[in-house]
Amino acid sequence: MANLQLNCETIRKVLTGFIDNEVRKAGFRRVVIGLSGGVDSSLAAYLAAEALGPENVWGILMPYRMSSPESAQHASMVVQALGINSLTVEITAMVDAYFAMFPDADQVRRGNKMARERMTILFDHSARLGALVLGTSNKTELLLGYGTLFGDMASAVNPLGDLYKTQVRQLSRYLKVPAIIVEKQPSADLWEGQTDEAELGFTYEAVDKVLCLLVDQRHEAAELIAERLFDEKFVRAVARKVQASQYKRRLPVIAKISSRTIDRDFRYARDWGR
Amino acid sequence: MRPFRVAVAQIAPTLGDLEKNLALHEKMAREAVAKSANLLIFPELSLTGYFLKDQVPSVALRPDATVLQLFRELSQRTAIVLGFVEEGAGHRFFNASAYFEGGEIRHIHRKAYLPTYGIFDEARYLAAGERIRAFDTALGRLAILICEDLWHPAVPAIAAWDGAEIIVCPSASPGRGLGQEGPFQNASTWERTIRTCGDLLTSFVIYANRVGYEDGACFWGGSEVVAPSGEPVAKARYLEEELLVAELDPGDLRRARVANPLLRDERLDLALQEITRILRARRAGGD
Repeated sequence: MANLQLNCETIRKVLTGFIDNEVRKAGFRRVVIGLSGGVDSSLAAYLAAEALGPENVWGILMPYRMSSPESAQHASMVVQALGINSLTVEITAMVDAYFAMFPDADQVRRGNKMARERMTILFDHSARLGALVLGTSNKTELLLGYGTLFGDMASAVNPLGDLYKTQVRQLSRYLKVPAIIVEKQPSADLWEGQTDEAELGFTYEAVDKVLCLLVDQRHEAAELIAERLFDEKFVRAVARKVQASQYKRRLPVIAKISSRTIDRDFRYARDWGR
Repeated sequence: MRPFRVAVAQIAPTLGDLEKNLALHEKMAREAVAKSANLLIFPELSLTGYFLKDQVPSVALRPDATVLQLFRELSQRTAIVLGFVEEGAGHRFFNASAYFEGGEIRHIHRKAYLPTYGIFDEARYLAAGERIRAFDTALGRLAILICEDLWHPAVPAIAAWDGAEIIVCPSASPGRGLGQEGPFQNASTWERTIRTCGDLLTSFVIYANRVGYEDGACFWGGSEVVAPSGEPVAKARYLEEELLVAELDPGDLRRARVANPLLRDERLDLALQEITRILRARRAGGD
């Protein structure tokens, strides 16, 4: 069976050690985090504050005019609780100015634009503050491709990318992230009433189990279907999403010309010499 | 064999930075000497870091490299095992550990089993060693087996059959899988493996793992000294740098081998006969 139970104290040590180590190796000591008021960015802020000290963490709130006021309230709770630096940069003016040129744009385009607008603000503050952008994408989102490429998926260092959503919640409870943040319905907050689970069509509890079996424990989709542990359509939908979003987890594909092509046969660790 | 003191340098080398790692080795060696260690063990690829990939040829050393002179000198005071990329004849590169004692390199073990699965890609960059050998030292008969070597049960067995009393295992083990007791699933497997080796081979096992991070992989530490009874007698912390020091009493080895004469009863001829049969069948095209 899928085992998603974390040894939270160990994971806390590994992840705070990871943040401290990777940030310092890159020659930095500060990080910026886009705080959405959701559980992922809240947990990232808790871990970063513990790893680097709250004075070295910047939480940036980037609301759009249609964002739920609750999101900003929850993000502020995190800022208050941790004593980290914070800044609010509204994205309404930039996003609306752009879509004034394309008034027919659908929700997907608008959502992607907002995610990428936020990314540019985070990386601008990375340069402004001499701080690395800390990623907040979890393993469930990354595997399902439920994120915007070069938007919320963009970061320098990601402590959460090997934790499923339900594990993010476990660790958040352990680190005493406010319960209202941990227990609320996850939402990308791109339009009113949006929830991840409605959009994906399944719950994180269910999908994390299937992903753990397929990815971590290397069951074949056909085996899970034959064992009748899950609905066939559900398993196939999950497997399809993982496969279809593979491109989002890789560098853009490079046409091979030379004898040593980046990432194919020019292979160095990112921590090369660090 | 007389009682002696072993030290394990559970360090976090910097990937591909020989100069920095040499300085760290020197610092640890001086500390070990100050603590009267007779034997100091560094982890796998301690001079270079682990996930070297295309850096392998850039950091490789020949055993006569002048940068290793320092350890020849230090080995007048304590024997030293350290890990490096050895450039062998024909420009083949090996994941190697050298044993320094009395001012010279007395033995080099080249890792024979190169993990090339999951997070590992060693056989892409390195050549596999061709020998498993025990060798005599001032401290007793010793064998060095690097990390994955120990996951193939025949390997530590051959070392013990060759007379090893002390099995030294330098390692660079990145944490993999959720752990319930230890920090990671593979940490528990390692602990079971080294203790079982000590127990079944009635030998000391010294496991020297590293700490630190490379590309997000976390080396979990937890270095350990196992007595010939299979009991851990000293254990380093998980995830943190440490110089672990332990006393080894050869009386423990004798008592274990009296109580449990497994090595006396070993039947090499039987093992050889069956291995030969299996090999023949495989060569004949069987599965």
